[in-house]
Amino acid sequence: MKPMRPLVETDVVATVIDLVFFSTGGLVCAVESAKVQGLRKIEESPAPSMATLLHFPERAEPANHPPRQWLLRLAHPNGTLTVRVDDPVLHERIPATALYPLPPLLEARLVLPGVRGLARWRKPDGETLAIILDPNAFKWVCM
Amino acid sequence: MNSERDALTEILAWRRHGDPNISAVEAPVVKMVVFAVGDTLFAFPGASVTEILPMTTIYWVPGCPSSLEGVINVRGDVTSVIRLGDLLGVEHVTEDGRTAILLGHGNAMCSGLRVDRVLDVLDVLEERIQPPLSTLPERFQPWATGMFAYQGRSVLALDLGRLFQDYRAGLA
Repeated sequence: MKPMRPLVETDVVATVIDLVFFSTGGLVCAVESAKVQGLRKIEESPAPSMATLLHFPERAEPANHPPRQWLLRLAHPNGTLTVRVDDPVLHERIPATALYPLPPLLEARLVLPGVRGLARWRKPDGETLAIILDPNAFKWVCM
Repeated sequence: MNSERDALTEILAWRRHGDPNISAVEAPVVKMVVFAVGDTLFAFPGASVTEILPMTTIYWVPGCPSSLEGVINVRGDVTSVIRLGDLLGVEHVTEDGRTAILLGHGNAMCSGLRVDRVLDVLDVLEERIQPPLSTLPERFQPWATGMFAYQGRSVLALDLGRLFQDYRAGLA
């Protein structure tokens, strides 16, 4: 009699994921909603913008139509990381089929920490690709 | 009814089946995708090019070298787009409506490659492909596999797999 193969506990892969989408530096980005601890209207705050944390230039917005900004509170291994992000900020449940790992050449040459993958997102004004970020990889900024 | 084969029938039969008096000579050929970056003509083997895409929306991803233009959505799949001219040290020339993206693969990698225009996809006799000249600019040498003539101009054939491998390793 053939020996029985040991049972292997397989992971159940989620078919949907909750993401919080936002804009920063003119790009559409997203983080897992499980990493978002809160969102509030911006007042006087020295919190850095997400674009600054990611070391890419903040897009110059027309002075008469600056985007509304929000303070996004993210879970970080060192505590809560508070960053400024631009409107629109939306919580969406998207199918796993809309998520993409980074293409291999891009992954090999990317120097930016915290970019996990890409998400196809149907915005009200059309479809776009959002950059999925991992707050754990960001430099800790104590506020 | 005239049962004799007329000239037209003969010609059509010849076009359909070839001349039985002429024996075909099987000469090895390789399919090449000929394209231009700037004023220079290059080619990739057709086997390395999955698709020729028209210019589409390229999504910029921060933190990449300038030669990596971003990513595109190809019918539900996401792939990177490399500015081939930046790797080859050839300046891109933008011509409205003619810019294309070659979807290429090699060494288990796949990526889009921005080129200025695609000129042709043709079968080239292997014997017509000459080794690269020793005077070839140094920047082309790592990936040059041969040269052939196309419409009176020289075309440089490139190894896409090696190019992707070097790019991944940061050598390009």
